[in-house]
Formats: sequence, structure tokens, C-alpha cells
Amino acid sequence: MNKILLSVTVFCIFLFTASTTFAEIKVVSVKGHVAYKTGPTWRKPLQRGMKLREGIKISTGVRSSAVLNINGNIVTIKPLTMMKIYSNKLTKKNSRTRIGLRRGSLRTKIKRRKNIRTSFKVSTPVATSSVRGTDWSIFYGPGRGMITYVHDTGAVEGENWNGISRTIGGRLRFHQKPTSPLPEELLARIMNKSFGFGNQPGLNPRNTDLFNPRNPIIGDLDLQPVIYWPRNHNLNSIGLNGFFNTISGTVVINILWP
Amino acid sequence: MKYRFCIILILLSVSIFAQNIDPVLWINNLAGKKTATFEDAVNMYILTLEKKPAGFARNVKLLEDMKILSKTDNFKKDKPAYRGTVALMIARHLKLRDSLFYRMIRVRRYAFRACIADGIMGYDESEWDKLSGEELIEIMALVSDRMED
Repeated sequence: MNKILLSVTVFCIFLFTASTTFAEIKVVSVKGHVAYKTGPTWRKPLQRGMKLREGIKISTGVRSSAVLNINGNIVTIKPLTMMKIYSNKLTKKNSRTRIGLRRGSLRTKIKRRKNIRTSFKVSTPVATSSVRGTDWSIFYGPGRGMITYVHDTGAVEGENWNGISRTIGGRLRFHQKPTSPLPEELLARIMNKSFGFGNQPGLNPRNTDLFNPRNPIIGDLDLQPVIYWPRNHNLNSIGLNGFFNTISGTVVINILWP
Repeated sequence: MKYRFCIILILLSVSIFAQNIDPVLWINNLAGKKTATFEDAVNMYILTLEKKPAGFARNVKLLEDMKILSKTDNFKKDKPAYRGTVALMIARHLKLRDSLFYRMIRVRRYAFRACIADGIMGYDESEWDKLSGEELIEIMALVSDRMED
């Protein structure tokens, strides 16, 4: 009798450990006002230490955030965000997570594990973003659309609902606007905004003249300038087709008339 | 008696320390609106400033004290929240400097231009757009990020 009981117990242990029982969604921390729901109404505040299930929806308030641990991957839900965890599966060889982002932004740090193939996908109303193992952020809003970018050396793939995909890394970003059938060109942001010239590489914006990044028309310089003008060049010959050392390129300037 | 008193005390303490999710519920209701009103914009701004909304008149008074609204504005409570109106509030609050015309003439049109220059609004939008609830939330999320910078 004892032997039979022992055999049954050992069999049950093998049976359950072979399935996806290690998939776990745990709340690491909560700041401010964060609510969740599993049914039709929002009723409950999210609390630290809670274990969550697939199908849960989470919404954060102003200046509020929550950090989740999903199979060892850290997901930070930023303020004014609404998201839903559609599925979360973990086996000995595969980790698969699907999240829907209705609005707001997430920052996700995906753990790279040698023996486990990780697939982490976030869907928005205009595009999806998927990654295997990296630190990345994703934002969605009805005006700006979906924007995704990485924080370290990994890569992220963005794909819109027309099936057009881009794999990005470094300082590039994937941007899909709601009104456009195509994602934004990868270098569009760099070419439109980081434009300046001086007499040496490692440009100092204060040395610029005509295209001063701090003037009222072009007021944004959140990226390091990537283009510089050769020394002693004639300023009167500046046109829309500029010459940048040994290559030529086209610059797009959006002029806002008052 | 002591037992009942302990139970009541425990229930009260749970409710005292429980998180209040009313702001989250209000924001989720706002997200479902096709057109947000000026009152919604004022409430959203009050929440972004981490203050408690306390009626339209008091909220407007608070924003006037902070110079986000002016006494001469006279925006109506139930009128749609136009992008230009919200841009003017943002430009005053964040003291945006990246628009020469806004520095000279502080009206909605140029406040909207200043918000474009600061990356809060898009160049393909208009100051006369009526904001939906989701668009208002998106804009205030960017404002909240700027406040933390």
C-alpha cells in the first residue's frame, strides 16, 4: 500500500512539473493609484505581492506606476497606461508572453536565458512590437501612434497591421502613426531635427549660425548632431541638397508659418 | 463585545489604508469620451498636479492662482476642449520658450506652436482640433513626463 501511494505521488509530481506551471505574474511594486480588473468593472487596487493571472487588465493613474515580474522579466507600467496580459506560458524550453497596450507606455527588461527561447510581444491598435531579450520601451497614443526603441544593445522588431516590419536597435526607433500605411523612416527623426554645422566634429551647438538648434523654429536637440559642415564653406550656397563631407543627402525642413 | 470591536477596527483600518482608485476610474471614463470638455481638461490638469479636484469653480481658481489660467480667459465649462486651449495652459505652466511668436503674443495659436516645438503636439495637428478623451490623456502624459524632467 505504501509503495503504491509513493508511486502515485511520484507520478503526480512528474505530471505537474512537465506542464506550464512555472509561468508566474507577480506584482513587485506599486506607486500611486493603480487598479486592475478581471471581469467587467474596475473595482480593486493593485497591491504589492499579488499573483496575477492571464486576462488581467491593469490601469495606472497620473504619476502612478506598477512593476510586474512576468516569468523573470521585469515590466514597468508607466503613468496613464492601460494594458492587458493576454497570455503567459513558460515551459523548460520556451517562454511566451503576449500583452496588449491600449494607451500609455511600458518599459520591459527581458532576461536572456541560454536554454529558454523567449518571445515577448506587445500589441497596440496600430502595430506590434516583439523582442527576444533586451531592455526596451513602447509607447502608444491615438495622436502619436506607436513608438518603440531599445535602451541597450538588443534589437526590437516592429510590425504594423499591413505586415510591414522593421528591426531596430541602437538609437533608432520604430514609429507607426495611426494615419500612415507605412512606419516612419528610421532616420527621419535624426535628419529632421539634429542638423547643425560647425568647424569640427563633436559639434558644439553654440557655434552654429543659420540652423541654430535653439532658435524658435528648430527648437529640439535631443540627439547628438550627426552631420557637420566642412570648414570655410560658403554659407550662401546652402540649399536643400546639402553636401556632407563626401556624400550628398536631402534635408527635409518643416516650416511653421505664424 | 471586544471581539466585535476588533473586527470593526480591522475593517476600518483596511479601508483607511486601501488605495483609492477613483482617479483611475475617472480617467478610464474620460478615455471613452469622443469629445472632452473644458471641465475635463481642468480636472485632468488638477490630477496631473497631484491635487484633488474640488468642483469646477475651485479648480479654475486654483489654476488661476498658479497662472495656468487667466481671469480674462472665460472658457466655458461645457464647451469642447480645443487643442489650442490645452496648449495655452501647458505653455503657461511649463513656461515654454521655444517659440518666438509665443514669447511676443501669448495666445492659443502661438502656444500651440510652442507645444509643437517642444514635442508635446504634432505639426500636422491644428489648434482648433476638438480633443477626445484619449487624446487629452495622451497630452497630459507628456506634460507629466516634462514635469519630472
